[in-house]
Amino acid sequence: MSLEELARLLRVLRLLLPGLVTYIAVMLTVMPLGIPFIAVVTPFLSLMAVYYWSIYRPDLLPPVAVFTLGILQDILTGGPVGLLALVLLLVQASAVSQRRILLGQAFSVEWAGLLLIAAGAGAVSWMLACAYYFALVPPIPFVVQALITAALYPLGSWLFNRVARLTIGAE
Amino acid sequence: MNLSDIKVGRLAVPLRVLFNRFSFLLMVGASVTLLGLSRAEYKPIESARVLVLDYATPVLDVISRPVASANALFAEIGTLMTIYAENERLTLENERLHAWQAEARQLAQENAAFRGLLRAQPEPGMAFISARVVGDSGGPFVRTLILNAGGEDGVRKGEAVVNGDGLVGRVVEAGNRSSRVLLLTDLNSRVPVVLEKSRVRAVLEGDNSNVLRLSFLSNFDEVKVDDRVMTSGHGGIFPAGIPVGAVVDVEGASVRVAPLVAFGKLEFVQVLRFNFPEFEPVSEPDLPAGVGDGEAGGVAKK
Repeated sequence: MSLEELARLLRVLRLLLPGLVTYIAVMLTVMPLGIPFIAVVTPFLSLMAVYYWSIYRPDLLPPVAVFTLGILQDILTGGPVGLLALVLLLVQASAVSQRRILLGQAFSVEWAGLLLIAAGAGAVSWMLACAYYFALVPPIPFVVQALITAALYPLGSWLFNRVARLTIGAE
Repeated sequence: MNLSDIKVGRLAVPLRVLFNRFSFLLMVGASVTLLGLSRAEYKPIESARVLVLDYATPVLDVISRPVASANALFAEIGTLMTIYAENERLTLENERLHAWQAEARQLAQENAAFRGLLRAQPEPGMAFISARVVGDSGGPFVRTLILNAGGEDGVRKGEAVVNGDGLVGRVVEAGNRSSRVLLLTDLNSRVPVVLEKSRVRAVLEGDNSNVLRLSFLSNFDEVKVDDRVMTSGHGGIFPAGIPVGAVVDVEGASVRVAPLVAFGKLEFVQVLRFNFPEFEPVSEPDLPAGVGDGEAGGVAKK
């Protein structure tokens, strides 16, 4: 392999970073953490990742990738197959549709956008879960999850930012 | 040539938007279809779940180890602070347990003697498989665990899962080297139980919170706070007598039970291989000696 080919390979790998980061977010969601409060309801890390990439690099996280990672999370958490995939696709669609408004704004606007989307995703997944199990699923964990996700977003966004710098100029 | 390049460039953007929109709708359609199939418990979906779990478990196994070590380290630092008080508590507890041990030995002998007199059917043998918890569904609508042991290690769907404190749940999916456990606290968990003192039967239900609910109680009046709850063995899924929890709250028809197991801190669990007695016609008038001698053994997987 020549040096040029190696450089090309590295460029292609850099383009896969958003997908890889979202994959790690999915895997971390099912990690058994001993933290008393977080252990019950973990933050929706993949939602953070999908939201971030939909705003900054929508071209690097296509719907197919979001769907695949959503199905993976559905299977790993043992929930209904397709539910989180659908929710993440809706998150992507709403973030992409608002990205012109969100781009170039202060971080607080981006954060507020995430809170709204996390709340919407919580409401939609709660309704889907109720319909799926044909029972009144307790809604509190969904509220808690949306709040924890929003609380952790500044940290997540900072990390994604580091990764996003690596993807610049990789095309 | 330059001109055609520009044309292609102009065409490519709307085309890409169109393609993205099409693939988005396609993926939404696929999700909804899968949801429907999953709801209908379509067999290939179930097999695909098990297959994906089998492939993901080695990855989870590797990345959960440093997490487990970090948790253990924090726990150790925590115990260092209370080591003196803990030692005193354990010495007292040890004394008390010695007395219990003597009593248990005597009771076991008595029990064996009475069983002999009554020619009672011995309890079926029980073996267990120890497995590590490599995944924990943190979602808001399910309470499950992923274990690093599966069919190859002898784990079968439906088996009960316990730890040192009591009942954890049961195996709902078993792959070759991984399995999924439905926790007691899950919305779909139903366990036939009995109250230790009053022997009142009930069904223990989860509702995704950390407290369980007793339903189908045969007698409300005899239920009191602090009553211990254990599996009754009815329904043929859980062996009888596994401790589950204690009643914490009685309010009219609503009885809440706190589980004994700390679900957030599970690291290792045991899958019980329990052979339920089946109805088999006995041809000989006398059972051959040694039939069903409780064979307890364990296979460990770490």
